[in-house]
Amino acid sequence: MSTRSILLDNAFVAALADTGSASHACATSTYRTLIDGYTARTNRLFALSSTLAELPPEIRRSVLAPVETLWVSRQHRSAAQRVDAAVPAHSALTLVMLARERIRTVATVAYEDGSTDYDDFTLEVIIDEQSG
Amino acid sequence: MVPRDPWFVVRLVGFAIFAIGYLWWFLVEGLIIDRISVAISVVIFIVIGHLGRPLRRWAQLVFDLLCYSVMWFAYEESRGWADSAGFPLQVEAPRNIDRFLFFGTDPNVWLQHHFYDRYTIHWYDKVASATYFTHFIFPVIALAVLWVTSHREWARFMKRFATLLFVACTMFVLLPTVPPWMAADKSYHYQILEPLARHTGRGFVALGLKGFVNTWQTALDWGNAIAAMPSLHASFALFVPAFFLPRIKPIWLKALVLAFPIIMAASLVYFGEHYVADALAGWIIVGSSFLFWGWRERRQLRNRAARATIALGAVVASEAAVA
Repeated sequence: MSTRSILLDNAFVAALADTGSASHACATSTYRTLIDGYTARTNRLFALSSTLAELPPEIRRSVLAPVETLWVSRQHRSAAQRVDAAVPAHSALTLVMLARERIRTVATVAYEDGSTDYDDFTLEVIIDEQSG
Repeated sequence: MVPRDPWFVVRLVGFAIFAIGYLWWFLVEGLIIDRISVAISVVIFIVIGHLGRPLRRWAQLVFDLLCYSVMWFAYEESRGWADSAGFPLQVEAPRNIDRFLFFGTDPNVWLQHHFYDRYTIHWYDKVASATYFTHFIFPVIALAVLWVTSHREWARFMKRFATLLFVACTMFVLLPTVPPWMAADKSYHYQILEPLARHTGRGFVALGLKGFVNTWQTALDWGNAIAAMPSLHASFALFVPAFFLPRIKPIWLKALVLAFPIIMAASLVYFGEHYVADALAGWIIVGSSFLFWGWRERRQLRNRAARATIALGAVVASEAAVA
């Protein structure tokens, strides 16, 4: 049995935490599937410390209880500024952390056209429950 | 694209220099065996693995090293207490357990009668000797590699390892036990076994590693001879393979890995270092430690998943109520 490490990116965690978000239902559904994998020990779930710091502690302790923290430091932020891709800052940081921690799978929320910030990279991208 | 970690190459070069240095030391001085030298070499290895890492990782490393040092300090101290605590010395009990398990035969005596040749060092003497001395290397390598590669796995390893040491040390104090070589030795007054040769280092000397055996002999003088139940040699020989077993895919390799603790136990009995009962006790503690921490980790995992599922359910319910 091999375990897959999955990084929940900033957009995914935000959608999960924000019940008013248009992506909330989709993110919740995907997250349920990921938790099933977590319970079966086939998934390890991660999120960046910078992402988790933006959330109320009760969400960290409840909804995100299975999620492990990847600590972001100054060297990671500095490397994120040098990412050569047209992606938002938080996605650049996610890309740096994925590379540094050797994580190959990222869960995110797709844009309306179905694209994501990670399409140009050799990563497994989870955008809904079917693709997980 | 994503910038590479500039320190990655530095760490790789550092590990290469460490490996060359270690090999050179091994060939010239012998294997590193005393606790201080082992600790220094582990610290150097770990520091190399942490070069260029964030400050938080270094802080974590300092804390881990403190815990690790406390664990070994407690282990060394408690081995000493076993002598002075005053609990009755177990002389015949382990021998009687062995006789019960082997239908009246003493496995130490039987093995030496059938395989030990005073004048010739056979291939199996070398295998047994080499297996015995892996005790001083394998757990340390496993710990150091896990420390550098995965802190989570290191913590899983350490919880089980510290539990094993704690239980073993408690038993050393409560059940000071005379090992077979001492029980058979004429210079002690027990002589409850036929004479046994304590030829542990012979095979290693034949392999050209005399320096290491000398260091080991010195270490024996400092050690506590009656801290024999359970056998930590047998325990560690099962512990390390058992920890890595789930990652090994080929069945033949799993079987090979699991043969290692059996070879270790047979070697210990053949050398007169331990009874079979000592090895079995060690294996039982290892098994219990793995079962306990496995259960704890599964429960923790289920609890976290349940908290998340309940919270998600509550959100969905509140949304439905609003709608």
